[in-house]
This record gives sequence, structure tokens and C-alpha cells, in this order.
Amino acid sequence: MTCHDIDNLINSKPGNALPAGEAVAHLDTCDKCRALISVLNEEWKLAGLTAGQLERIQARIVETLKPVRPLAPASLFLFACAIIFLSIVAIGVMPSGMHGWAALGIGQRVAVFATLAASAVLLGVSMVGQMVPGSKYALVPAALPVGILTVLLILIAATFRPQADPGFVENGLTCLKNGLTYAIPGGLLFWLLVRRGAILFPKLIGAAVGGLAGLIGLSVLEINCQNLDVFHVLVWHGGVFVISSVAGALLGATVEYIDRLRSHEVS
Amino acid sequence: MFLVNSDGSLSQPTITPDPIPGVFDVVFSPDGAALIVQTGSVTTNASSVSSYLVEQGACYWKCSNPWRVRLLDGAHSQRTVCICLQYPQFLDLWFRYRRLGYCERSRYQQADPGAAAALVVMLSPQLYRFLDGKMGSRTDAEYMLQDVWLRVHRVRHAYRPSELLLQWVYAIARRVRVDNYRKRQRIASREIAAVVLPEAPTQKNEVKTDLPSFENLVASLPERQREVLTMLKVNEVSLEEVARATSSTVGAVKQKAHRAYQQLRNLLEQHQFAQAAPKGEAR
Repeated sequence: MTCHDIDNLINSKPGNALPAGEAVAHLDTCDKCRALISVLNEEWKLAGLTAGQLERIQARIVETLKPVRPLAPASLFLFACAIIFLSIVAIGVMPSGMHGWAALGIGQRVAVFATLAASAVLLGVSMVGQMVPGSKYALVPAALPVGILTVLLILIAATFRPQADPGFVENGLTCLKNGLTYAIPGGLLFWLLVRRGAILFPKLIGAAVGGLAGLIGLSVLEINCQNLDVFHVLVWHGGVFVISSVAGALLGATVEYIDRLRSHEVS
Repeated sequence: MFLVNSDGSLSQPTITPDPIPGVFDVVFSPDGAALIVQTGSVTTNASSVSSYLVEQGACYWKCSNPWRVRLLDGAHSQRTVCICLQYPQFLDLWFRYRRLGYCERSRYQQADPGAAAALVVMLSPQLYRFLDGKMGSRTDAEYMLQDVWLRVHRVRHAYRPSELLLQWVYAIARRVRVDNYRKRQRIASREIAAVVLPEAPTQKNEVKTDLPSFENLVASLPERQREVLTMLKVNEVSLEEVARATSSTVGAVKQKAHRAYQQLRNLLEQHQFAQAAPKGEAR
């Protein structure tokens, strides 16, 4: 048994009920682990809360008590997200047609749209999870937008090839504008949805909302735009996702800042 | 031995023969060793727990500590009874393992003042323990506790009855703790020390024989490691619950805990080395 195994045993038992029996042999030989366990076994002093403090809290809560309707199930919010996502993509595709879809090969279609769909599902689940404090996450919400961006960039670099693109900036700016045109309303609708929950970290949820909105713009562009130059897709299509995510995080940070100012005024 | 009433007040235990449906009470058994949670029409007492359960046709299993019991009534609806044996911090345990807070939470959402008051009484001690510590003063902890409850109150609609209550509350408490930490950092960065107090003279011959306290050691850890360790070892929350409360994954929590233990080992080694040094010099 190693010190690392001792750590795992300590973690497996909440509180100070430490695994003296299971690790006796190791503890006999390891001074560090023995000292660690005796420190962790220390009796923790119980907090000294007075009845008066509790009564003050109770009074403040009870005086503003009104019935509330519990939040709808997560599946309903996910369904609403899917509807918003698909509706805006459909609206975005209609005016310009599916030139991009036609220009893509089957392999490219599968790779690009499967990744976009998976990314959208992951971000949607993370976003809806963040509406409820203490939700379970398979992936850390803070790392998710960055992870998705990395995967998208690698995928684009691997799927597309460099092509002659004389109007790199002009075409690119048009694509960026088109992408953001659909990402912004998507972001607003997602924000209206998530604000029904309890947002503990507006910056994080802002990045998730922005990222999901960015994926709407990116999806529209992948279906519309027939320019398959790898640099065009990387910079301008990928740029929609980056700008949306950063804008979402910045808006979230602004909300957080305003909340802080408000609470400062109250205190 | 006391009873937590639905209005949050405490009184002497009474085993209600026919409790009001939908209301549950927490009763300490006469010997103080067992906690019985009564829900709906389920009535039991500590001396005849097993026989009662057998009579009720309950299937029950021992799940380390506490015993978790599931009863099936005539209408096949499930009702859960929690019996905690030989555990003094019964309420902590009760809330950690059970979803029984569900009843109080649901009634709180329906604006029942008794349920709100009961929740404050039941959860505040362990929240206070989480907020207290080397991070700030006691006044800070009290202020944070109040802030936690105000936030809980503001977002009470965001609690889904099917979810566990404790991690929901802890996630909010953690946010308050982070906010308070940042606030103190901001204040500290703007404060100018008017008077520098002279250092207290140290007694060179004094040799400490005991290990440093857990509280002192934990205070020297980075904020994130300290938070994880406090929740795991002081608040006795499981890895899964820590992960949920900190918007993280179990793997990430394990890693932070491992780093914290490693750092504690190093600190303890340094301390032991420092203790041994004067002895060596004396020789």
C-alpha cells in the first residue's frame, strides 16, 4: 500500500472515521501518513450558533415568504434549447440556401455536423445543469467551452484543405456577420431560458450560453457557406463561436459585477 | 433527547401514535442512540425497530451507518424511514443520506413558515461550520450564513424536490464563501496598515510536542484545496456531493484532495523537522 492508496481510503470515508485497520501496515512504516491521519482524526469543534442568530434569519425569511412554483424538469429545458437551436438554424438556412451542405463531401458532413451536434448537446446539458445549484457534471463547466473550441479547431484543420481565397477578409467578414446575426437572437433566447433558474456563476453560464449561440451561427454558416478554405473556416466560422462565447462570458461578468455592487449597497 | 418540531422549535420527545399525514417528526429514542424519522402514518420506536419493521413487511438493509429502510404501504407507495444508530450528529447524517428534507423543502416552496424555520434550524449548524474557519472572523461567518439563507430564499424555486437538498444548499454556500473571500481580498488590498504591531517575543526554549492543529494546517492550503478538504473532513460530505457543490467532477475533487493531503504531509514533515532541530542543537 502506498501513500496514494491511503489518500483514496481517506477520501472513501467522509468525516474523520479514517481507515486505521486497513492501512496499519503502511502507517507503521510511514511517518508522514501517520501524522496526517492523526491530524485528520482531530475532533472538530462544533460551531457555536446561538438561538438568537437563527431566529433573526428565520424572521427575515418568513417575512417575505410567498409560494413559488418549482423549476420545470431539466428535460423540458433541454427540449426548449433544442427547439430554439433547430428553429434558428432552419431560419438561417432558408434565405441563403444549402450551398455549403452541397459543397461538403459525405465524410466532411458527418464529421462536421456530428461534432456540432455533440458540442451543442454537451453545452446545452451544461447550461441547463448550471441553472440548478449542485447539479452533477460529467465535464467541468469552466473547461467545456475551451474544450469544444479545441475540438472544433482540430476537426476543421483535419477536415478542410487550403484553397485559393482572393477575398479572404471581405468574404470572411460577410460570414462573420451572417453567423453573428443568428447567434445573437439565439443567445438572447437561451438567456431568457436560463434566467429562470438560480445562476450562481453568471460568467460560466454566460460562456455556455454564448457558446451554444455561437454553435447556431457556426451551423448556419456550415450549411450556407460554400467556401471550403481551411483558413476561412478556421478564422471566420470558428470566430463566430469564439466571439459569442467571449461575449457571453463578458456579459455574465457584467451581471456578476452589478450583483456585487448591489449586494455591497445592501450590506 | 429532543424533538425537532415542524416549526423548528425543540421539545421533549413524544412518540406520536397517529401523526398527521404529510408531516414528519424527528425523534431521539429514549436511550439517545437512535433517530427515528416518522413519515405519514408510519409510527415506530427505538426499542422495537426490528420487530416493527418485520410486522410492516418492510424490506430493510444495513447500509453502513445509518440503516436505510424502505417500507411499502398498502397502496404500494414507497415511504422511507431513516434510522441512525449510535450517531450523535444525527441531523447532519440525516440530511446527508436522505432526501427527507424534501418534505420541508416542498412545504417551504409552498410558503409554509414552519417548514422554512425548521430548515434554518436543521441546516444552519453545518453551514456555519462550512463557512467558519481560518478564512475570516466569526462575524464574517455569521454574515455569510445570513447571506446564504437569503440567497436560498431568493432562489428557492430552483430546487427540484427529486434532488438532494444538501448539495443544493452547499453549492449556494460555496458561492457566498467565494464572494466573501474576494471581498476580503479587495478590502485587504486597499487597506494600509497604520500601525505595525511588534512581533510577540518567541520563547526559544519552548518545544512544542503536539502536532499543529488541523485548522492551522488547513489555513495554509490554497483556497480550492482548503474548500475541498473542509467539505470532506469537517462537513463530512462525500466526494460526489463535493463535486456537485463545487460544480466539478469527482475526479477533479479527488485530485484536489490528493494534492491537499500531499501538502499537509509536507507541512507536517517540516513541523516535525523543526521540532527535532532544537533537540539536535541542544545535544
